[in-house]
This record gives sequence, structure tokens and C-alpha cells, in this order.
Amino acid sequence: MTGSSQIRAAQSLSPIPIPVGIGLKSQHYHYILDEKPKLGWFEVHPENYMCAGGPPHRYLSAIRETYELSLHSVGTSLGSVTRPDVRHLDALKALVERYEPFLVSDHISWSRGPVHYHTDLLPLPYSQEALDVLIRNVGIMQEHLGRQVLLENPSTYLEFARADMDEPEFLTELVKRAGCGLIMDVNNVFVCAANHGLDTDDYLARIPWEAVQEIHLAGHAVEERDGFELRIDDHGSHVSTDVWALYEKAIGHKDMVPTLIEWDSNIPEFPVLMAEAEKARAVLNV
Amino acid sequence: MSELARLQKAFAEALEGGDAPLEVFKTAEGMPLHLRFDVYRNNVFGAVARSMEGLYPVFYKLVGPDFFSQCVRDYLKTHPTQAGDLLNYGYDFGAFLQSYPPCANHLYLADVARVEAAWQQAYMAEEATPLDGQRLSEVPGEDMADLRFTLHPSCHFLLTTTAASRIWEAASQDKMDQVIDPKSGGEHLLIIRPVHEVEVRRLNAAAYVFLNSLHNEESLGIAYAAAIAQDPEFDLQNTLIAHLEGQSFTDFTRPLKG
Repeated sequence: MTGSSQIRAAQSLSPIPIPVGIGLKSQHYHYILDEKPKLGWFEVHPENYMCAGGPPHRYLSAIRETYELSLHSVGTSLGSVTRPDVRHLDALKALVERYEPFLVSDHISWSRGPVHYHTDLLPLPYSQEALDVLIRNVGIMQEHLGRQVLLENPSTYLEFARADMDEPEFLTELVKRAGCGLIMDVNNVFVCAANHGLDTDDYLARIPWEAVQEIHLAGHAVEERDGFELRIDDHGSHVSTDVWALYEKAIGHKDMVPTLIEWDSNIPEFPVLMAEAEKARAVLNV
Repeated sequence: MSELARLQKAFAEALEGGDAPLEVFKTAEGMPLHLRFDVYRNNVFGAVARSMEGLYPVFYKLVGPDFFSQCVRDYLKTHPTQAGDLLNYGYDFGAFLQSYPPCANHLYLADVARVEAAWQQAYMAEEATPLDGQRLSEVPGEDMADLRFTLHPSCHFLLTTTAASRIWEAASQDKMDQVIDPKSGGEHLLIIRPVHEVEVRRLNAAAYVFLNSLHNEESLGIAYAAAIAQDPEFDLQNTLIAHLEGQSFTDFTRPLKG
């Protein structure tokens, strides 16, 4: 089988009965296994499961028996000038083989510096060089895993002075040349637009929707310092009204995209997340 | 060095305490660039601090959020993150605390951190099926001394100079009003997860020597001799039975004949 037909085969696996999912938190393992909430899938950070055994794998395996799974990595550092760490890709591959996720993804960002790692999703300049580096590293990751991966648009707090293109152009070139898919994080679109004075309608009109295979929704915070405001992507609250409105517009561009509710800090009881998922289902009209 | 390589180097150095390379960023309206860069500094530290809080919940409870945060900040300076995940980061925090001046008068704090690190490693360790004790009863008496046992892959042996495991136990059960003299022990600990639950077992010195010798692939006879040297009253049979029932072993091998 050639590389590209393998990728198509991986994509055609596992139809999702209900297109809304929730980011899985260990606090909710018992609730989910006891109550079996009506959801299509869960998403996890594979970095939380890169261990040999124990309860994390026991719970995730039990949940996988009922639900589809998406692996959303935060650690491959695809935007780094250095090539991806093979140990990390090996650990990810082992999880892909074990859990057979319907989606595998990471971010348009970097965390591996020349000497150490810096555990965050650091911003990339939208330069030709950064695009080439990212495409090379996505290629290495897809080759290593034997399947297509999705890349997520970032939340950023700074823009770079030297840029050869804007984000929609960068995304368009990326998917065309790397053959990867995209996660469209609608909250990140909103956060970036607010932080950098950009137009969200223009952004949504210009991104390559044919490559978008997943949408993320999350809450963000408004940080005030010295009388200035900045939107911080902290996944610590309800999806904001503005972001729900932007989600409706996004679904106008492409219908029925699997949609994830993310909530990673100040984590509430599971029914609160479920209510957010129900709101997304109402928008998708399913 | 390419432009991107220079930029990532400058960004990374600024995250480790250098000045933010403000000249590479686009002038922004609203919040000034240096405050925007601080978001990344805060995110990077916050990720490590949250991970360490998850790894050391009892230490955190004992020292409080401000002191904890300072410890992690100082630890991070000499222990930068080296991988794309934090699951394997921070296990030598106890060793760091042993020579960390602000903890010098409270040695039990470093010991508690060592207990918690071992607990977490046991929690995430490989699965293994416990040894069926019946197999042992089929071994002829003359072969017993040459048996070599395999301990469960989750096992960790830990010697403390303080009553760390009792402090850990009280604090993790929210019995913070209990009075424990940190100097009331020296402990010999076996931390192990035979199936689902991690157990922190306090052993006597001879049992510790015995099991640790077995773990170091010594024969039953050698391990027994080491235990007797520690304590002539060492009870081999009851120790073996207790650890068979406690599922400490996963296998044993018999000597080759001839």
C-alpha cells in the first residue's frame, strides 16, 4: 500500500456516530464508566499516557471499549528547527497502535529549543523558512505513524515582525504541501483576532476548509495588566458567547465537522461539560 | 544559523531568565510586548508547577502554595525539562530538597517527596501477574536455597531518615492534627502496586534487606543470610508467606541441574 492510500484508509476507519466529543480528564473516569454519557468520542493528550501501565491505561482502555478516541499531542514540537524527537514519536506510535484513534493531531507551534524543552505551545513566525521546517517535520511524523495527522491553529499573544504570509495563507500552503489535515480551534481564532486586531470573518473565509477534520471549542480568560487586556487561552471556563457565534459561522463554512469541548483548568463536574457538548450538537443539528 | 534557529534560541533563552527579544515581534496596540512575552514565561512555569503539584500533592499540602512554587522555581533552574512530556519529569525532586537550604531544618520534607516520587513511579509501572504460591510448594526442599525471585516491576525500595511514610500517610488522609515526631524513625519502605492500588509498606530492617537482596537477583539462601546478619531473629517462613499473599513476587527460577 502506498503512503497516501494508507492515509486514506486510516481516515475511512471508525465512523463517528455522534460528532461531538469531550476532552477526557482523569477526574471524570469513574463518572464516564458508570454513566456511559451519550457522546461519540473522547480526546486525550497522549503525553499523559506515555507510561508502561497502571490505572491511567486501565481507565483509558475501558473507556475505549465504548467510545472512539482522538490523540491530541502537545509534545512533538513540529515547529522546531530541530527534527522531531524519535523517542517521542515512538511513544506516540505505541499509543496509536494500542488505542487505534480515529484522529491524531498536534499544534502549529514549537516547544523544543536548542538545548531544552519549554512546556508550552510557543508561536511560530509565518515565514517561508518556518513553513518549510513545519512541512518537513509533519512529513516525518506522518511517515513515522503511517497515517495522516491534523494540525491545530494556535492561540498567540505576540506576532512576529518578519512574516512572508498571514495565518490563512500559511495554513493553505501547509495542507497543500504536507498532506496533513487541520483542527480549526474556533476559540483560538477568536483569541488571536482579539489579541492582534484581526477580522474573524475574513479569517474563516480564507482558510482551507476542505482540510478541516475537527473543530475545537473552549473557554478563555481575559487578563488585565497595567490597564491593558489580553485574551488567554486557558480552557478554564464556559465557551464564550462570542465563540459560540463564531462556531455557528464556522459550521456555515463546513457542516458536520467532529467538534470537541476542551476544559483543562478549574475542571467542573462532568455534566457541565456534557451541557456544552449538547450546545454544540444543537448547532450541528444532530 | 538560520533565522528561525536564531529566533528560537533567543526565545528559549528568554524563557530561562534572559531578556525577551522584543525586536523580533511586531509592534502591537494594547498590551505592551514585554507583558505579552510574560504570558509565555508564565505558561511554561505554570505547566511545570502543575505537573509537580500532581506528583507531590502531600509535599504541597505540607509547605503551602507559596513555598512550593519557590521550590519548583529553584528546581527548574537546575533541572530543565528534557522531553515533550512531563510524565517522567521531577522524580529527583527529593534528592534536590535534601540539599536545598530552605528545607535544611526539616529533613522529613525531602523524605516525603521521595515517598511520593516512588508512589507515582509504582502507580505508572508495568503490569505483571502475581506469583501463584502453589508453585513454590512443588519445589523440592534441597532446591529452595538456590531459588531466585522476581519482584513486581512496580516495586521501589526506600530508606528514610525520618518518619516520612507516617507523615505522608497522615497528610494524605487529611489527618493533619496528628502528632508525629519526624525523628521517631528511620524507615525501611517497600512501595509497590501489585494490582490496582499502590501500597506503602513499612518493613523491619531484616525483611528489607531480605527482599532487596532478592530484588538484586541474589538467591534465596544468600538473601536469607543477609537478613540473619541484620537480625538473628529474622522469620523467613512468615516473611515469605506475607509477601506471597501481598503479591510482591511475580516469578521465581529454579537452579539448573548438573
